[in-house]
Amino acid sequence: MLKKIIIFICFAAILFIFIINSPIIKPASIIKIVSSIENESIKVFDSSVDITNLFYWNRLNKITRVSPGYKLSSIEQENSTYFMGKDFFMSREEDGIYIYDKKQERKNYLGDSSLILSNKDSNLFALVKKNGMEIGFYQFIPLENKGVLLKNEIFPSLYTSYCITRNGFYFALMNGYIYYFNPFENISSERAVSESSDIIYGVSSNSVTSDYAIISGYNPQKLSIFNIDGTILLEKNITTTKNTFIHMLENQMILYKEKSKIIVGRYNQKKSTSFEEYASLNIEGQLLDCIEFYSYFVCIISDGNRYSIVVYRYDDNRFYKKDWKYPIYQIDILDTTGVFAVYNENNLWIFDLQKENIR
Amino acid sequence: MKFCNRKNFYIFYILLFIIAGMLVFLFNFFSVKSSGQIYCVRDFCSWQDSFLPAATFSVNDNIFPSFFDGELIYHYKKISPYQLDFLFKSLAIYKSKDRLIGFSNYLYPEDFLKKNDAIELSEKNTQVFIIENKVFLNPINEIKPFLNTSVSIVNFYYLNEEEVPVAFRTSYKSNVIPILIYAYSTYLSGRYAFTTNVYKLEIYLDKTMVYQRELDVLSKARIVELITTSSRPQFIKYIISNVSNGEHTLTVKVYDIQGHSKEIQKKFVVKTDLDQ
Repeated sequence: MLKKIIIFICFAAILFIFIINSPIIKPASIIKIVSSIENESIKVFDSSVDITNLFYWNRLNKITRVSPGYKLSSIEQENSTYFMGKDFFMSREEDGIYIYDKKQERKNYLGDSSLILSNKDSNLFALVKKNGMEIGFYQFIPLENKGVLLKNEIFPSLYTSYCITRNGFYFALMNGYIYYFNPFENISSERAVSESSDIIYGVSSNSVTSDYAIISGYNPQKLSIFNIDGTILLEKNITTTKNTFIHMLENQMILYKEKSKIIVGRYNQKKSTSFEEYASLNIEGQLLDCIEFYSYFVCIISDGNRYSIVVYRYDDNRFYKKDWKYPIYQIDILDTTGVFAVYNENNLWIFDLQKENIR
Repeated sequence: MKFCNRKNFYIFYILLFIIAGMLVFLFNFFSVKSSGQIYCVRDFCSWQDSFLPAATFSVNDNIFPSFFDGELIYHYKKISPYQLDFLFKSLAIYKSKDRLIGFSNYLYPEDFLKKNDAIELSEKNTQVFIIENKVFLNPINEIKPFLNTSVSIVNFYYLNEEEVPVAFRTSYKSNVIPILIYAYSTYLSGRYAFTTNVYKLEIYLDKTMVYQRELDVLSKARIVELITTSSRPQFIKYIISNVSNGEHTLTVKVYDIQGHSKEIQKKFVVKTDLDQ
């Protein structure tokens, strides 16, 4: 009898351990999972949400095209790394950099450089030369499938942070200057914006205005917002010391960090020095990627150990957080109604914000 | 061993414990202070796989000795493999008086560093830069005491007065060969403007190119402006390490903008018993 009880307890223990460790993707309470692609294996959890557009999944060493109906096909070249733009992507191969048109998937040789700086939402990109201070600014021309050099600049200092929007380049230099270049209006400026410290920790802007936000200074750090003429729109001390976390959203809202929480608020362009704080969320780490919908923005925040999908809903000015047990680094909009994908190099998960029940 | 009484027995073990503790302490103390050998892999102004104006050093035990007292003011930690866009991996910048001193591959930096503290790197290589009054300085001069070779220059060989002098060491006891190329230049906030007609430099060890650098080309008006505002001669230094024993030929080739070139050659012999 005792033997049977022991065997039963052992069996129950093994079953319990198996259950708690099983890699089940539970439907999120605040965002609903639609499907997953894990190591090329596709699982559809909600077939009512159609993937109507094809999208490109950057897996660093290859690009996987995901077509409607979850048809996967990959573009890869040995020893290559891929970088994503809006209508194009680039590969760094052994003999240089190539640019691909997403529509035609034909590649053209571009040149050589050390670093490729691009933005998934923009057709502007920059190539950093080997000395780190010479930067070429380019625009991708879709119909011609080529990158056109707009300007070459040699800077007096290395950059610490940069931001590429749909219409401009912003580079924070280590000498306290911000370099701005808008190729469409042919405006460029190099302006000292940080007197208290040589280092600008972070710069961010959006594609709607030419205002930009920076984090500068040390102990205390300062959040400053400038317009393109260099006029200060906002300046406020923040409690962090070595923070590089700043993000300016399209609707002029600012996401930044104070100690161990992120804060979202809005500055008023007309009313100088006015900043209205909307909400905060206790979370460690840095912002890895962010997307914006009409009534939400969604971002990935991680400290290197924990990975969280953070949703902010404008209707009720609240943050919602979902911890994800797998590493996730990038986030892409699949449908403007609220469907998005988060991914790493091997796995991708698709979520829907519209079907969830945020309360 | 036989103890006369219980007291002696305890004293013996307490002494043994103290001696063992001291040995452990001394071992740790010296292992931190003497961080093995530091090699300059690529010097300031290097063009190959390095970002101007940082010098790349290699240490064999991941420990680099601090050469300053400073406070950490900036730390960039790479979390995502998609963060391919930064010049340095895991950059930490310290403020030391009027200087900013940066180290790459410094994953867990201390908030405060004192001179001779151990900087524990995540890799064996680190890129170091120093900025003083917004001008980049060559870190070689600061790290020289820790380097396992001297970078002093002994002889100058001038092509002619207007052109590029190149300095080699006269004796090569070590397998590390320092080279100094002197180009009349000006240096303003890290921006280079060479006033000689030198456009490109190449250094060959035997027939293998070990260094190549194209210089910035600026307009004459800009050069004059730079000279009148902040002019000082600029050296280009380069170190070739791990040169094998035997006879070698070092060649420095300089080009002008039209592609005309001149060569200077130096033959030398390396005799070393060092196993590096």
